[in-house]
Amino acid sequence: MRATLTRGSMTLGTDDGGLPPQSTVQAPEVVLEDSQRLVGRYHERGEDAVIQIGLAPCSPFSVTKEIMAESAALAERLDVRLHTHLAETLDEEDFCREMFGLRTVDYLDSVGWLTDRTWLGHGIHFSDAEISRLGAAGTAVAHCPTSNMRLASGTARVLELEDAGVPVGLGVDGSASNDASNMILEARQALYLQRLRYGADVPVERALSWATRGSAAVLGRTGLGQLAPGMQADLALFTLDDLRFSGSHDPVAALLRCAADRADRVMVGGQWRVVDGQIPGLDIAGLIAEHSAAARRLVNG
Amino acid sequence: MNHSPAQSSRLWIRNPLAAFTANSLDASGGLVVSGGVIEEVLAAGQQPSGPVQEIFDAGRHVLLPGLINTHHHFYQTLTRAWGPVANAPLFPWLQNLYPVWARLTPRDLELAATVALAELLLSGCTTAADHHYLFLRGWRMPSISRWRQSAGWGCGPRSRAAP
Repeated sequence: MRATLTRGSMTLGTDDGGLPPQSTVQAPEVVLEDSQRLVGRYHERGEDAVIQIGLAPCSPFSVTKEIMAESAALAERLDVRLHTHLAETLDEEDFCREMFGLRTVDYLDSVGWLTDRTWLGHGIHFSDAEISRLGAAGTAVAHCPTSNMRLASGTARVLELEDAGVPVGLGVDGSASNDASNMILEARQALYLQRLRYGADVPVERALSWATRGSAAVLGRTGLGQLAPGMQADLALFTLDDLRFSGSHDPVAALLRCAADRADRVMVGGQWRVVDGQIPGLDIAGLIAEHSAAARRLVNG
Repeated sequence: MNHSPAQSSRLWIRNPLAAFTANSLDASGGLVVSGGVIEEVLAAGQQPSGPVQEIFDAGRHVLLPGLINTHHHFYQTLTRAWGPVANAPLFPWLQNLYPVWARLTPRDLELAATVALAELLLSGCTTAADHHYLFLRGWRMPSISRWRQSAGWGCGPRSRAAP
């Protein structure tokens, strides 16, 4: 698989008015030094890149404005992307107003992040004027419908964001708030959540576009997300043999309508990585056993 | 490394049941893949422009571009469906989870990332973003090197030897 791995950071602990405990935050100079090291060591460039590195201070309530501004400057210098959470909840909006005296997009602008280098996790609570500003800047949004529904965060204004010129892709979000990591089901969830906001005229193909071409634009990956000559051979193939598809007519629509949840074949860069619904070389049963034991240990302290 | 002979030969993924291209092209006749890229997109009834060495008959398959996930926190696969935050909104959800997450070890992270990536891959995802912001007890980004070492099934880097 390809990955954009972001070097995140938390620098604003409870001692300084932030949300995370002090034991989980780092000094800004440590963050910046490590960010630079990781980009130098791991970041690949070009359309066939497998691993890319981005810089990602966590959220307005867990980082200082200084690390935001310094990360933006470093990302510019190293030519890598910037990622953070923004406008996820009204709590966060209140925090920005109280801590910084700014609405979220003004805050973003004030730290040099209102650019096409940036993609935002969630991007829900924007005014019309803020949507226009994001579109003019080319700042992108990762729409995370399941997480937003689980945490009752709100509904992103996806069609209006796209109309304004904001690249929109999909994210499953972290597994404490989804709690599945299933991209084809996330496209279904996006389709239906956006229908609740905008009405029934949101086609399946538009949701599939968010999950492919839109997401590629969000990550700045020009060689991915479409079937076209010269694009990377990254493909997902689904069969419609299960009971859930029986009686379906339009095969593409059936994927989302009938809730496809597993690919039969997946190709990355010309290599089959899923064959007959399995990952060759991965011991899933062993992984589940060890991961489950680690999860129990973690929550039990 | 990840290069197999298939990369230099031409593979025809032939006549899918249906295809979504994310653009105006018609891929009813399938794709020709070579050297890790899509060389040709074939419309209904169209044949590859030259010889192919392999054919995958996609008559049972709906063909899509690989799905791309733009926001995730892989480490959180260890705290799925955890009771104490089951009904909490964002801030109390975070405040209750932070102390649990503060106990993460590098091995936990490796397992969590492998689970997240495997689950994504099986759902048709070919590119995934991870937002990792927990660096505990002096860690220096354990997730990348661990993740790469554990990912012998397809997550290796393009051009470098494993660390």
